Amino acid sequence: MDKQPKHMSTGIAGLDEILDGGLIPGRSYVVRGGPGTGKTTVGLHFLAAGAAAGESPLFIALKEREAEVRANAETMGFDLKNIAFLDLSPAPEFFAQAKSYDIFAPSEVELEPTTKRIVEQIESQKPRRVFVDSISQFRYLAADAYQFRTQVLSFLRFLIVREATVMLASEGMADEDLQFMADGIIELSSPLDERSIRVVKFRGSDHRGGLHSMRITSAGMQVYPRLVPAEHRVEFVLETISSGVPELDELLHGGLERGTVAIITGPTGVGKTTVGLQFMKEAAGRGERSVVYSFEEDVQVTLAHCEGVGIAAREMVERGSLSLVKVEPLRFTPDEFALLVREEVEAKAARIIMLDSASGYRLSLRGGDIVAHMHALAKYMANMGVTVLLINDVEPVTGEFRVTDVGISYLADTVLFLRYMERRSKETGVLELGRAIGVLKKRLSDFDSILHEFEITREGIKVLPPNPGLTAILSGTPTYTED
Amino acid sequence: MRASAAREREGDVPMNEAPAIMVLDRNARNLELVEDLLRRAGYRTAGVSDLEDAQRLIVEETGIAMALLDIGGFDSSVWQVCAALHDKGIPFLVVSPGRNEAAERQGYARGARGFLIKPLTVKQLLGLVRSLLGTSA
Repeated sequence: MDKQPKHMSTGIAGLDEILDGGLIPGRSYVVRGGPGTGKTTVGLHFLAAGAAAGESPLFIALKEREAEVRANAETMGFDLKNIAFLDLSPAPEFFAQAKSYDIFAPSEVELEPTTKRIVEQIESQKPRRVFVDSISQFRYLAADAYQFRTQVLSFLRFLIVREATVMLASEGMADEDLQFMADGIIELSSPLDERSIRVVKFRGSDHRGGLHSMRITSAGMQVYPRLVPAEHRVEFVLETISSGVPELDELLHGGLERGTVAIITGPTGVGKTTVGLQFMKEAAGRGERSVVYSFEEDVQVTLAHCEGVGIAAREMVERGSLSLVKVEPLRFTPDEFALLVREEVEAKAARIIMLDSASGYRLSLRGGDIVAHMHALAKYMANMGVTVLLINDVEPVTGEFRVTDVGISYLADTVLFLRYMERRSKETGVLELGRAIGVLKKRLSDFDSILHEFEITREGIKVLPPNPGLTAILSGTPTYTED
Repeated sequence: MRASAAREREGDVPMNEAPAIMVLDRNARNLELVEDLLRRAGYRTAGVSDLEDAQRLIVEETGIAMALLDIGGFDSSVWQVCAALHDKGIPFLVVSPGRNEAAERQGYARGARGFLIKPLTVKQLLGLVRSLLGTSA
């Protein structure tokens, strides 16, 4: 069986990932997209990677002058000293000295000198990587579509016979015929102002389809491949982890399993995050790392809250057993956020991860189809043996029972629900607000189906023994009656 | 008196001995491109960019075998140049910026061998020149 050809890096880590390692050498690729989508940036990364590998890269400039390209590239931190330039861009003299003509068509006049310069450059330099910005200009040098096609095809062959890998920037749909000539097409777009990249075609190798997030920063282009959970899996021991609160463990018949998703649902303020933090406190005692991604609460507030319930969060953070992260609203796309999570899981061995909350995730991340991303992220974490805690705020605060608002209950292996309840104090006879906890669903084990009262104390969660007098659990506000 | 004159090309043989093609065009770059093309094909050329120089060339030079006239940018006095060429028996082609029936009629009325619309193709131009002159000597 033929050995898989060694892939050639594009210079962009995320793009290499989507291309299953990078480009295949000795082939031609089209980078297409509208104005400002980043085609030249892709080309610069491609050539810079070539320079680093000693592959004598060549930039053929047909639009912008060499000086402009170099200036723009330098602001993005590219080092261009080992990249050769062939500047075929229109000279200012063309306008100033009225060198325009109409006796012949441009295709008759310009093609030959242009081709000659290109051939000379390539034969003397022998580049292994060539970027043409942009091939759309060639169209005006061709008398008609047939000639354009023929010229481009023979140009590509000329380069490939000389063992170059070629990337052509193309300005969009008018260059449809190019897609049949190239071995691969990378498409840049910004639907709804979200920069995206997509591999439309990639002959000779697998690639990851669909849209992937992309960003252009002062450091160049960054690509965030869409998370495909099925591609990530580790062997892990399917054990149950304790919450550190024996009665809570009993409710769950031991605790929560690794590699499962638990939804902790209930109205605001009832104690969902605290329940989750109990598991993390216990995990810290085992030397394991946990992470809380909060989409709403500031880190300082969480730290103060922890102190009030007997969780030494500051120490845990210092020792590296806990990381509290506040996610800035609208800062990340789901793919970018997923990359953060992957780093925690794969590089820092986080074993419990909390997303607080599901609606916060939905509202804080940019782009479309968020729920699908959340699903993929949860699945990824589960595949990697992480215990996922998904906090879900339910409105209204009291009244009719509803598990989740965002339609994510299918994601869960376990559903822990918390509710407020009214109870009349035995001693004073005054109506008080109490809290109740119960397990609604547990895929991997049996569970205690009794609703329990619980309290949040200075030592943490305290689950009270079951009370047979508790009624109206699901249909309204649970009421405690004395019998 | 104006000092402008037809530009001679290709060295030693004097203009009035070898057959040459007169090219009239107001646009300097057009003139350059056509003369380059014809010279590369082996012909001699004499390029002019105004009607006075054209008339002078017709009167003074005896070696002109044919003429190519781009009427773009000229007024009706260009037809006098055509008449002069016709009188001397020099075949000529008229080149026009666009379809112009009136100009076409004028041209043919004064004996034009062809009426071409810009842009020309190299093949087309060389083909017509060859048919009028034969290949270069």
